[in-house]
Amino acid sequence: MTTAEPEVNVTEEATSPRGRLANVAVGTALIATDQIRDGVRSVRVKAVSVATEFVGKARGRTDQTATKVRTAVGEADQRGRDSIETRRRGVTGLMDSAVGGMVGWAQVNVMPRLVDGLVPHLISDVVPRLIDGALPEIQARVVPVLIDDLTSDPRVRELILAQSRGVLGQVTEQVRTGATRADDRLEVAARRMFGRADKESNAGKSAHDSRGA
Amino acid sequence: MPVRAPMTPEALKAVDGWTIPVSESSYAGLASRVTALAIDAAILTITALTISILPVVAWREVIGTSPGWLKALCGILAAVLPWLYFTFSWHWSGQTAGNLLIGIAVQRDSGGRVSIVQAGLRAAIGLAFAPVWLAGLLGILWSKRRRAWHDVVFRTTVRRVVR
Repeated sequence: MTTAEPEVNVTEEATSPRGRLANVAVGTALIATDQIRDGVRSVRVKAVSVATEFVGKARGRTDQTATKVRTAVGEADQRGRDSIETRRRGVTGLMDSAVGGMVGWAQVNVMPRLVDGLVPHLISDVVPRLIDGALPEIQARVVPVLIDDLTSDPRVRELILAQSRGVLGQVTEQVRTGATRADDRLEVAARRMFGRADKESNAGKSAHDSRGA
Repeated sequence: MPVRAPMTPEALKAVDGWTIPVSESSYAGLASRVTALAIDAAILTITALTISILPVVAWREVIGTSPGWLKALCGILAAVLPWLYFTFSWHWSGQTAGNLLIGIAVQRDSGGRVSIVQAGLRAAIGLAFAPVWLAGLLGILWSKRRRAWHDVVFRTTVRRVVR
C-alpha cells in the first residue's frame, strides 16, 4: 500500500500543464537533435564523396605531370649524352691527331738529338755508376733468390729432365739407326763376297721362309 | 714343314743396290749384337772391377789389412757377376743393358721368354768359350733369321723390339 501512492503522483504530474510543457520541450529537443544528426551525416557523406573525387582527379593530374616530367628528363638525358659523346669523340680525335703529330715531330726532330747528346754521357758516366752501385746489391740479394727460385721451380726441373731425356733418346735413336744400317750393310757385303744369300733374297725371285716373318 | 710364300717387292728393302727381305730386318744383325755385347762388356768390366777392388780398399782404409776371405769373396763375386747378369737379364726381359740401348731382345725360337735354364746355359757357354761364341756370331750373316751358332744350339733368336 505504501508503494502505490508515488506512482499516482508521477502520472498526475505528467498530465499537468507544466508536465506537458516539459514533455514537449524534451521531445522538441530530441527531434532537433535527430534532425541535426541526419544533416551532419548527409553533409559528411557529401564531403567525403567530394574529397574522394578531388583526390582522384588530383592523382590523375599528378600522374600525367610525373609522366611528362619523366619523359622530359629522359629526353634531356639522352640529348646530354649524345652531345657529350659527340664532343668527346671530337676532342679525342683532335687529341690523337695533335699528339700523333707532336710525337712524330719529336721523333724526327727531338729524339735523335736528345739520344745523340745523352748516349755518350750515359755510357761514360751514368751507366758505370749505376752498375757499380747496383751490381753488389744484385749479386748479394737478387741472384741467390733467382737461383733458389729456378732450382726449386718444378717447371724448370721438369724442363731440364725433359731435355735430358730428349738428348738421351736422340742419342739412343741414332745408335739404333746406325746399328740397323750397319747390320744390313754387313749382311749385303758378306753376301756379295760369298754370293749365297742374295740368291734367296734378291729381286723377289726366291721364296721366303715364313718362320722369319 | 715351313710354309713358303712368294716374296713381294714390298717385302724387300734396298741396301747398296742389293735387296734384303724386310722380314730379316726384324731380327738383330751382327753390328747390333756386337754393339750390344760391347756395351755389356764395358758395364761388366767397370762393375767387376768395382766389386773386386772397392770393398778391399775400403776395408783397408777404414779397418786395416783386408782379410783373405774378403778378397776371395770379392773375386768370386766379380767372376760370377757376368754369368748372373746375362742369365737373369735374358730370362727376365730378354734384354741386357746393351740390348736395351740397341733395342733388341733374346727370345725363344717360338717367340716366348727364354727359360732360366736356357739363359743360364747360354750365358755359361758364351762366357766359357768366348772366342767360339764370337766366331759363331758370323753365322748371323748367312742365316735368314740372323741366328748365330749359339742361337741355333740353344733355340733362341734375337729380335728387334724397338723399330
